[in-house]
Amino acid sequence: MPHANPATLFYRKNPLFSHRKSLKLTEETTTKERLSAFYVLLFGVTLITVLFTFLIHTADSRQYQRVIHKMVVLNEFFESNEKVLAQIKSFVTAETTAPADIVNQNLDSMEACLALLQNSEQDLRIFRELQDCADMTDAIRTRTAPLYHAMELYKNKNASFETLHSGSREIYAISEALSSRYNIISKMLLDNIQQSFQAMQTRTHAFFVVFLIMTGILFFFLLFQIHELSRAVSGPVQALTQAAEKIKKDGICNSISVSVSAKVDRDLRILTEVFHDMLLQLKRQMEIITENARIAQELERAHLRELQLQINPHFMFNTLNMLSDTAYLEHADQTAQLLEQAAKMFRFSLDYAGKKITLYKELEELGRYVTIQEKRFGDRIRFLFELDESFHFIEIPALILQPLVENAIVHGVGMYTENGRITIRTRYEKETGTGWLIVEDNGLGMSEEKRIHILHDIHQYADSGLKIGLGNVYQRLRMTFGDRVSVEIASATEQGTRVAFAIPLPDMPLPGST
Amino acid sequence: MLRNGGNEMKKSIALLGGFSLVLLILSVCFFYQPVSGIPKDLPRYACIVCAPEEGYWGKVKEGIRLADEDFHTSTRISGFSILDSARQVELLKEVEYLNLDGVITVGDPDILELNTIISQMESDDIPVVLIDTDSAQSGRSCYIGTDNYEAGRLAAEEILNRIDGDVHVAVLATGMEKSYQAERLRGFQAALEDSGRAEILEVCVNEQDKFSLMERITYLTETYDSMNAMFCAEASTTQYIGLAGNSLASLRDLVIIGFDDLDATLQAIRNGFLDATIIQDAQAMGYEAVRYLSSHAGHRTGRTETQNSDRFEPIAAGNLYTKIQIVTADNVDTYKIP
Repeated sequence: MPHANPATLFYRKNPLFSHRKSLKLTEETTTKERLSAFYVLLFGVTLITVLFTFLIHTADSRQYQRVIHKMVVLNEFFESNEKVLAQIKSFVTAETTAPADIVNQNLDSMEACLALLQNSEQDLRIFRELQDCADMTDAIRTRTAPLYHAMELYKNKNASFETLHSGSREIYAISEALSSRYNIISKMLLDNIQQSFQAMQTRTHAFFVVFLIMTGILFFFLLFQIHELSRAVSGPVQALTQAAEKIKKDGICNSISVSVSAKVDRDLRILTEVFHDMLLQLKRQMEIITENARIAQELERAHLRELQLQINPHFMFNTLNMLSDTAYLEHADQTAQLLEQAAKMFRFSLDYAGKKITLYKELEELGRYVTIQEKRFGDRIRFLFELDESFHFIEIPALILQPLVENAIVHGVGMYTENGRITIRTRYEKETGTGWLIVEDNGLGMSEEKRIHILHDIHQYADSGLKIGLGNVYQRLRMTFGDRVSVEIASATEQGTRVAFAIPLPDMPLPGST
Repeated sequence: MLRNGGNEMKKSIALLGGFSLVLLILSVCFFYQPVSGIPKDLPRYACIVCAPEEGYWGKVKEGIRLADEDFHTSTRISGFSILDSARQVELLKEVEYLNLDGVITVGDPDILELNTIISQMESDDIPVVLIDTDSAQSGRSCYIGTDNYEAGRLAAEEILNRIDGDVHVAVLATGMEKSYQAERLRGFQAALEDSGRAEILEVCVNEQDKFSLMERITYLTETYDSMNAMFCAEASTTQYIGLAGNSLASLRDLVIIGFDDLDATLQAIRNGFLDATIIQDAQAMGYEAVRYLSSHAGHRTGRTETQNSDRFEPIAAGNLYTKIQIVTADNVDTYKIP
């Protein structure tokens, strides 16, 4: 199993970056790798340059040494020839003992030199000259023995001086012919050396030109690498510095985002992106803090309003109780019952304002309100309940349904003299896990324009705190059940209005369910 | 180090590898010199001819060089001054000390020592080929050169072709004791006699210099009013005709035939001072001499014959005459020895 890249691990472990699915890290380069590659290239180019220069110099030197060696051997050959000539001359003129050993030794040396030269020679003309020299050396050798013999005869008076000297003159002639070849071979060798060196020089120059061009190209490539490297490092650092200066100047909330080029090295990109994400996270935290402060302020204001509101219900409750007692004393039983129901309703609103109750309790209290309204409107308005009690155990803010029914009376069927109908409906959708609170009337309804305006106001209330009934209900439900609470209004002029709140109740363990 | 993310390193190493490879290839291309080795058992000949490296003798040497390439032979050329026959003999004596397969040199029937040494070589089984000038009495294996008798006849025929009436001709030479000039004159005379309308006014022997020649020409033009043609029997006299032509306007009225194709001679034809020249195939002399030796020598040293040219049939011992042709103003810039 391949090792995970450290940068990848960092990203995987840090939830802050868990959403970065598109970030490709494994194939990217780090500054360290880039630097290493640069140093390897620099070192390699230098090494190769030195190596090739050394090799070429060595090749030149070796060729030079070979030529020098040839010249030395050639000199040695002709020195030996001179020695042979001197020995023969000395032998003939001084009539000394035959210098056979010395002469043969020198002749052997000459032959060895020639063999050495012939073996290494590549020029046919020089080789030919060396062949001739070898023949002449051999000719000297074959003529020395007869010369020694002639000397013996001459000493014994059996041969004339002329006979002796004709033999020696022949050897002198050969030896001198050999000497004359020295200049010829030397000149040929020198010509060869000159040509060879010129050719070598031309080749070396040509090679160095190509070599310099190639090295120049590599040098420019290295310069380009340096430029890329400095850009890859300085670019992100500069971006970070600018972002830091902006934060210092304008604060986090107004700071710009930090972005880097796609060509930036992996490590610097990580650094920059971490900085960028930290900036975003800080901005988000700041927004949350600001929002929390606003909500806290709103809650404080609401609490104050609630305290103020508590004064009136108490006064109203006491007054209603007094009126109810009076109605009994005056035998006005129906009035007394209405007043009693109204007093209980006020009592409920006083006790449970701002608190949570079960939907069941809410519907019970709504019943009191409906009773009062039935007494009020008689046959003009009928109130219908279609209830799904499977989720009535949920807790909702108190007085959620009463404003809705009140709106249906006031804006819907209140003006009707007959056939007014208000339906209160609860329903739980198991498939979506949604509980529905619906109040529907067959009243005046509203235009589409007004419906949209009301919906807008409801949502505005959530943000601005405007007090309208629906907005209040919607806001309180959202505070209890979260942002997924939604409201729907369906209405048509002269046909009625339907207001429905959807409360998210996912995986709600319903009574009786398994 | 070369795991994922090491692309830069891979790139660097690849670049270095490529750089090294290119340098290596370039080094091999620039510096590698294969040791081909040279053939070490080539038949060895010595060529002892006149020294000049250019002109007539230069062509002879060029022919030898070409033949060496064609027949895989090794011919060492030694030069001597044309007037220094002693040096020629000395060089030939040197050859005696060498284990050679053949000798090419220039003959001279008048130099006894030269003939003797050639004869000695032949008796030592060293074949000798004479070029340019023959010396049959030397006992040489072969003579390769111009048929001077025919060359003389060709010159005479050219004069007869150019003059309709009687021909009164003077001959300029540098020495009638030289066999090749004597042969040319013989051929020249024979052709004139055959025509029945020509006579030789005088055969003048002059020195090999311009002033001597001008004196001779002045003498001839003043002496022989009827002279309407001139024949220069050898190269040096011919080349001075062109130089003398600027000073002697009367030369333009004569039909002048020269010998050989030295630069001054060809220029004289272009300038109109010379009507034609007989040219010899000097290159063929050198070439054929080597070819002869490569096909006949080798017996002495036991070397393998390496002849591989099919340009010519093998040469028989005796004489081989190389081609001659006439160059006039019409073909002076286009002629070519076949």
